[in-house]
Amino acid sequence: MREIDARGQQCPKPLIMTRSALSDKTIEYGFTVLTDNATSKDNIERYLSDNSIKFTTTEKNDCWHIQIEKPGTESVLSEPELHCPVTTGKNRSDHIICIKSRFMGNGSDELGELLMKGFVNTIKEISPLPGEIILYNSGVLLATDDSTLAETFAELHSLGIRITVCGTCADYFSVKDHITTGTISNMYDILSALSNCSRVIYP
Amino acid sequence: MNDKIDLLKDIEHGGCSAKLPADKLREIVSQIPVLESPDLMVGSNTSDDAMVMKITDSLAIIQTTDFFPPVCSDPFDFGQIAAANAISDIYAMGGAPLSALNLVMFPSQKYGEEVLLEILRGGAEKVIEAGAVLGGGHTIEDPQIKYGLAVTGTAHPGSIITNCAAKPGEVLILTKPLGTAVVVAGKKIDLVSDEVYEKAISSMKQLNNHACSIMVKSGIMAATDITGFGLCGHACEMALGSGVTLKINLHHLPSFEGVYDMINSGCIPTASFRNLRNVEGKAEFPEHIDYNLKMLALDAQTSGGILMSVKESDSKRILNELIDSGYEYSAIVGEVTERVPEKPPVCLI
Repeated sequence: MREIDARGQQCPKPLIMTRSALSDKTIEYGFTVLTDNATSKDNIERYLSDNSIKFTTTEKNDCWHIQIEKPGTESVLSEPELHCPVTTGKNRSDHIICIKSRFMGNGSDELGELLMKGFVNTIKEISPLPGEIILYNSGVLLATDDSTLAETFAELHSLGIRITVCGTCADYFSVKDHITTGTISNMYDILSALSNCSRVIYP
Repeated sequence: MNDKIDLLKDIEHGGCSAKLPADKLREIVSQIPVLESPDLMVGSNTSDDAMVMKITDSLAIIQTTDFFPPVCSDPFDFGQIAAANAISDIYAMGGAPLSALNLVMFPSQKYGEEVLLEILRGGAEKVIEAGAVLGGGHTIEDPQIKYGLAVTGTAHPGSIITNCAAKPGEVLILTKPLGTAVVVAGKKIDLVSDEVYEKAISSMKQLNNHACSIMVKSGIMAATDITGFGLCGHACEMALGSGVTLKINLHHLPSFEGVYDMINSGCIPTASFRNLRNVEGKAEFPEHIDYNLKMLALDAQTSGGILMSVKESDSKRILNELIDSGYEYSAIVGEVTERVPEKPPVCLI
């Protein structure tokens, strides 16, 4: 995967370099932008989210690696460790964990909430790691900045797991501004991801 | 003599781009005590451009201050722009500048005194052009240059123009092109032609004095000047203050030549993203919006134009007068409607 090295560059240069790579026809599937400027990282992420472009960010040695999937191409981010080794010692598969609700199972919501917390906290312990976690309906509430699981999701994201949040659901619960980890997505992309992975796990 | 001086060299956020985020600021300002006064006509609670105190039934004073780090390479230009920007708040309230004081922070180890002189000379000439008297100021040593003015103006209490008086049925006129922050960011990385840069510099230097005269003469009651929060941010303040909805047509926004292409190439200053966060929940963008136009509406302006709300029947005449007075980019950019409940106060179409 092509690497765009924007280290040492000030805003808005890293974003300009990202934009230029997005329209560069010689880069077919995706590329990685390296930046050591926190503001640039935030701006690039916001720009990509606003334009519904998929990306995954990992941080290494005070430098962010933003892996960007070019729109209209098949997912190339399913194996980001090839280009950006994550030192977890864990295998990763392309399976998806799909969280449909903030509660795990039916019966008692109080119990369901506890179980869900335990479930999400356990994800990183299990090998292989999933390639993606999709959140919809009240499941999106687990990934908001005031959720007790906010840090866990950030950690999972930093392990290279894509966190995908249903945009319609985030809108419905008015929490779009509070989704700090993950990419807001739509039904088309969610269904495509579910259709193309090897298996789906529902808690 | 200043051929080698480039004030932009070590500046990350210049001009009004250097503002603190509006939401944080509001939260802090709301906690500081204020003496209640029946003579305070406009205070900080409505996010207006300046404060207004009634002195007598026929006299009100308008006070404002503004200062920021360099927004351009040349010290004299910077002085002119900082002064025009500070004085603009008086014009946006429909007032006449009366007096001004310099506010300067200057690293005397880094720059020679001729740089300070050029900045002050630029500012002073602008103050004279505005018809105000410069009566001194305050200078302190600081690692980064900052310059601006505290300005006092006067007006009749009955003709104060605020951002709280826009009425449904009126149309919105913007008097200067957008894109100053894009141009300055582009200048730092050699992405902008000299011609476009010079155009932006002269627009930032241009006083809003004639726009003010036209507003006062035409009995306009609602206006604000467009600065660091961008057109969209200042439109939100006007919509909230006036209890109306502002509909802004992105395709009618005036901008400097080449700015659209620069935004398209990713030359989007950080302040635009900050302004975007600031208007979330307050401004509604259509789903398939032209992203470049959206970011233009969020571009932080330094010494920007005036956004005025005018009767539709007067709009053509006022627009022509503005263009004839030197605001050649003036354009009708939107309209005022009744506040739509459950909808954000600013709607971009």
